[in-house]
Amino acid sequence: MTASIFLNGLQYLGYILIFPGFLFCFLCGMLLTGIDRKLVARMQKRVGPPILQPFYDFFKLCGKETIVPAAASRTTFLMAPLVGLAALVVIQLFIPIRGFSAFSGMADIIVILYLLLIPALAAILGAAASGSPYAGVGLSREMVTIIACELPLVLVLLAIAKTVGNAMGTGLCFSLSEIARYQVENGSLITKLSMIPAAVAFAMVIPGETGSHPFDTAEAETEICEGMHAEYSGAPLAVFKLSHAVKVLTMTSLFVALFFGGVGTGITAIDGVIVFALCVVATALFISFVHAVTARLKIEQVFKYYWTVVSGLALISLVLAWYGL
Amino acid sequence: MDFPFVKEAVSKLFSKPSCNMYPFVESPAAPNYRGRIVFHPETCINCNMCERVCAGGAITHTSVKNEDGDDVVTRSFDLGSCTFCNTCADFCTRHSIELTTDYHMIGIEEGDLIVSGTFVKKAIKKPAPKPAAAPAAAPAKKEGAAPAAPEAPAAPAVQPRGDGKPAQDPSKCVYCTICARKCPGEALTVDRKEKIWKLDEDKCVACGTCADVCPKNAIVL
Amino acid sequence: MFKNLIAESTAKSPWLFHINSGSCNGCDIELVAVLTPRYDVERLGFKLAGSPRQADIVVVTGPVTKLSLDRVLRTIDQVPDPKCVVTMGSCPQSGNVFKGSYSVCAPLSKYVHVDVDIAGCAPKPEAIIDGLAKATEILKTKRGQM
Repeated sequence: MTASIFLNGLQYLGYILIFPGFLFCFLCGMLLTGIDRKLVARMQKRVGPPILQPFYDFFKLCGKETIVPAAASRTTFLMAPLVGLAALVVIQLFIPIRGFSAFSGMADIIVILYLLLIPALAAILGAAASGSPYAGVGLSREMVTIIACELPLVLVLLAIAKTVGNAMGTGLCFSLSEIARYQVENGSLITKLSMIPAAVAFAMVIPGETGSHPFDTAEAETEICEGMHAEYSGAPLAVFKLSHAVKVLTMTSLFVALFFGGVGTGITAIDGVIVFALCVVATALFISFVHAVTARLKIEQVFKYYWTVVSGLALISLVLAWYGL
Repeated sequence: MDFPFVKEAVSKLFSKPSCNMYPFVESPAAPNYRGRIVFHPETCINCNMCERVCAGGAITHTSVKNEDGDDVVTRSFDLGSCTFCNTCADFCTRHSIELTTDYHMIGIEEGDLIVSGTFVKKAIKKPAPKPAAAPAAAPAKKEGAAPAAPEAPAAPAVQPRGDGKPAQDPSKCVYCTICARKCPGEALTVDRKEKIWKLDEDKCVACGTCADVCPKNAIVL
Repeated sequence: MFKNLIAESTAKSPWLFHINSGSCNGCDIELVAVLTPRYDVERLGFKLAGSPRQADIVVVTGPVTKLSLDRVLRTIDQVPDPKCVVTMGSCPQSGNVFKGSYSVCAPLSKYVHVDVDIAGCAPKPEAIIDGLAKATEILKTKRGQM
C-alpha cells in the first residue's frame, strides 16, 4: 500500500518535473520560440539567429548580475516571474496529448482559463513592484490586452463545451480529457462546421495571449523600454523569457488539443511528436507569419479588434453550436 | 485592414536570404571608399598644410633636433578624431597622404588608432648656415649655401616691395609650389629641384593669395 | 561545466543598448543598418535591447554633450555585469570636429572605461560588426573571470 502510494507520488513528480511538466516545457517552448525567430527572419529575407538562440539567451541571462531597483519591493519583484512560470507549467499538465493527460478533472477548461491569467497577473505584479514608470505604462497596457483577449477566449471555450456536451448528452462539457476522448472517437473538432469560426478566433487569440506582434503593445521595446520588463535583469528576466516561451507552447498545444485532438496513433510517444509538429505549424502560422506581415497596433485598436472581429467569430461559432451544427 | 506584405513574406520564406555574411565572407569596400589613412613619410616636406586644413584636428606633429642639426619630424594621424573627409590628401602637394579602402579600424588599446610616420628633414637651406653667416662676411656665406640659394644676397629679412606684389624670403621658403598653384594669374613659377622662385611681374595682380596660402610665411607683400 | 556553458552563451547572445549622446545621426543610421536584412547581426545573436537593464554591450555615439554626459554615465551604470562599453565613430573618442566646444565633454574614456573603439565617421557596417565581435570576446573573458 505504502509502496504504491510512493510509486504514485514518484509518477506524479515525474509528470510535474519531466514529461508534460517542467523539462518538456523548457525544451519544447524554447525550441518553438527559436523556430519562431528563425521563421520571422527568413520571411524578412534574413538568415536569422540559430534555432538554439533562446537557450543561449536563457543561459546568458542566468549568468548576469541581478539588479533590484532601490524603489522596488524586493520579494514581489523576485517572486513574480517564478509564480508565472509555475502557473504555465501547471496548465501544460492539464493539456491532453490525444488520449493521455497527466492530470484531469471535471472542469479543467475553467481551471485553465484562470491559470492562463496568472502569468499575466504575475508580470503585472512584478512590474508594479519594480517602481518604474515605463513598467507602469506597460502594465496598464497588459491589463487591457488581457481583458481584450479574455472575452473571445471564453466564448470559444463555451462553444467547444456546448458542441461536445451536445454530442455527449450532458449539456455542457468542461473537461479537457472528455473533449480529447470525444475527438479520438468522433474525429477532430475542426471537421465540424460550427467549430471553424471558433478555431479561427482561437488562432487570433494566440498572438494576443503570447504578447507577440502585432499585439505586443505591452512590451513595445522601441517606445516604452520593454514595458513591464524594463527593470528586470539577470535570472528573473531569464525566467520571464522562459515563461514567454512556455506560453507559446501552452497556447499552441491547447489549440492543437482543442481542435486537432483526433490526430494521432494511440502510442503516447509518437503522439507527442505529432502534437509537437502541429504546435510548430501553429506557431509558424499564427505567431511567426502574423509577426512578419503586421506592424504593432495601438492599444485601443487591439481592444477594438478583439471585441469586434474575434469575439464576433466566436459568437457565430457559439450560436451554430447551440443549434447543433 | 489590408496586409500588403503577405505575398512578400511567403515568397521570401522560400528564397535565398539577402544577407552579406560578413565575418565569414570577406566584403571589400567600394572603390573610392575613404578608410584607414596611410602616410608616406619619405615624400613629406613638412609644409604642415594637412594640419591647417584638418577639420577634426586629427593631425599632429612633433619635431626633435638630432645631432646633425636636422629636424626629426613625426607626423601622426589620430583615426579616432578623423572625419575621413580626404581634405588633407587633397591639399598635400607631395601626395604623401592616402586614404585606403581598408575599413577595419578597431581600437582596443591606446594607440591602436594612431597612424604615424617619421622622417628627417635636412636642414640645408634652413637655419644652419644663416645664424653663423649673417654676422660674418658675405663670401663665407656664399660658400656655405652655394647649392641652395642662388639669390642669396638678400640674406637678411626681405623688404616689402612697396607695390603690393610678393617678395620671397629664401631663408624661409621650402619651395612647396603651393603659391604657384594657387596664383590666379599664373604669375609664379617655382621649381622644387632647382630651388627657383620667380615672379612674372606683368602677370601679377597683387592679390595676395600667395602670401595667404604660404605655409611658411615666406612671402611678404 | 555550467560556468563554461554560461560563458559560451554570453558570447553567443550579446544584447546591445544604443545611447545617442548628441550624435549627428550618421552613426545611429549605420548601427540600424547593421540590424537590417543586408547585414543582419541577429544571425550572430545580437539583439537591440529596449532597456539598459537587459543589455550586455552599450554602444555610445555622439560627442557626449554636457547635458547628455550625466545620462550616459547613469545609463552605463544601470547595465548589469558583465558589460562592455563600445564607442562608435570618432565623436565619443575625441570630439571630432566638435573638439574644444564649450558644450562637448568629448573623450568618453575620461569618465568610464571604454573597451572597444570603432573608428570611422561614420563606420562602415562591416567595421561595426568587427568591433562588436571584439566586444563579445571581451565580454566572454569578463564573464569567465566572474
